[in-house]
Amino acid sequence: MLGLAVGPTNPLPPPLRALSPAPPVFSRDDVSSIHTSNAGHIPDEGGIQVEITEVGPNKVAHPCDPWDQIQERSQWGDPEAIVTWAFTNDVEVQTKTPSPPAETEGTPTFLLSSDGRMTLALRSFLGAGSHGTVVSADWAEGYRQVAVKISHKLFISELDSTEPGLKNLKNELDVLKALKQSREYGELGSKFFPELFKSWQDGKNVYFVMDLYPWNLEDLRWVNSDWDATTGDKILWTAEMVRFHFAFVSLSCSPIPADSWCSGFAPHANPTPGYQAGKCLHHVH
Amino acid sequence: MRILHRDIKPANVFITSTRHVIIGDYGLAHAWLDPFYANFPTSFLKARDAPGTMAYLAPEVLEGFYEDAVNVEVRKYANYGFEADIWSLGVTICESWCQSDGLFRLREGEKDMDPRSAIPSKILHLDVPSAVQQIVDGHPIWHLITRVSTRTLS
Repeated sequence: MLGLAVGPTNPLPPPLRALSPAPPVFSRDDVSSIHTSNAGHIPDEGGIQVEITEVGPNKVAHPCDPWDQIQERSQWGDPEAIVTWAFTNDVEVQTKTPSPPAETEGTPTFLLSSDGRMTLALRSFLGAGSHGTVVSADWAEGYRQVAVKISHKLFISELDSTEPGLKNLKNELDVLKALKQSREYGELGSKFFPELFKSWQDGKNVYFVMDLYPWNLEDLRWVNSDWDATTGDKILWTAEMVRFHFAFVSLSCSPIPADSWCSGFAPHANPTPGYQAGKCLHHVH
Repeated sequence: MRILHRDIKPANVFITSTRHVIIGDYGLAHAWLDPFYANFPTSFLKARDAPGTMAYLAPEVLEGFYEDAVNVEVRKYANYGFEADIWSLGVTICESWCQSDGLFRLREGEKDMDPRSAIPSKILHLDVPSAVQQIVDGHPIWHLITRVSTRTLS
């Protein structure tokens, strides 16, 4: 049985420049004027319509019509295309393109949750897919950076004709809530689940506010790598020169001490025969 | 927790600031959250539709994926369980170790091939660069997929 371990072997890891939570760049006090109204784009939804007229030094543009943005859906998923991301009925949203973060610095777009208890300053574009858009944001009340997944209901339902996409969206929400509950109960393995801070929806979008993680394996795969001659570990460096050991650990029936630096899959493994990859390869013939 | 992720790949394996591994993006997950399923053996829980990223799909999932994409009218659904996630995890680990851009991704000129046979064939005949022909527990690195896939979640 194998396990994946990603962690430092150095007891004193180098300073994590990119990992330190950035201080929030704004607070609710910075929002000088918020107008709320029930007469929004979709008054039958019952949600509040929020228009931020001025935030800090940045003036906001006129509200855009989300239905116009949806017409641009043919561009979604194409990383080369100039797409319009992040639109909502809750707040005014500026039109942006997935430009490098440096170009979006200082011009945040703000998002207010439906209950008004979470204020987010959308920062940079992280990715787009069939579900919608993921952007990074500063969460004022939580004093941390988060990832906001904005799933567009209409786009998903029209894209997925074989199975109702909205059902998948509801399913994802149920899964994330179950994982959140698992984390709260401290169940075994729950530390490998993402943390969902808040979710809400309006007539067009569903919002998931989750923890923002600095890397994924795909990022590490493309940076320079090396081998540790003594341990045989694969050493991966991030762009910030943080060193990771990518090691395969034999876990077969041998639990790893709780204070080990290893943090991988299934620390208590009882290998159970029952699945052999070879069984699936009969199509080769 | 009876959740079948169905889209495990390097882009969905996150690393936190405290250097823990997080499995993220449950947009394609299939879950049996109803307490009714709590005492079911995991081997009884099967999914039938086949979403996901093709290069990371287990062969039994590919079967449904292919039929789904090509012939919607005469759809033949797959029938797979938690083992499919273990397969994807094996491919993910192997790719990360080899620093490869999609070990089993169909390239130009291969798009017309039947992925049900093309991808497993690529796995069997993987041309491992000499630099990554490492030995792990006495096995060549590309046997990792098989080794990781020998566990049934229970």
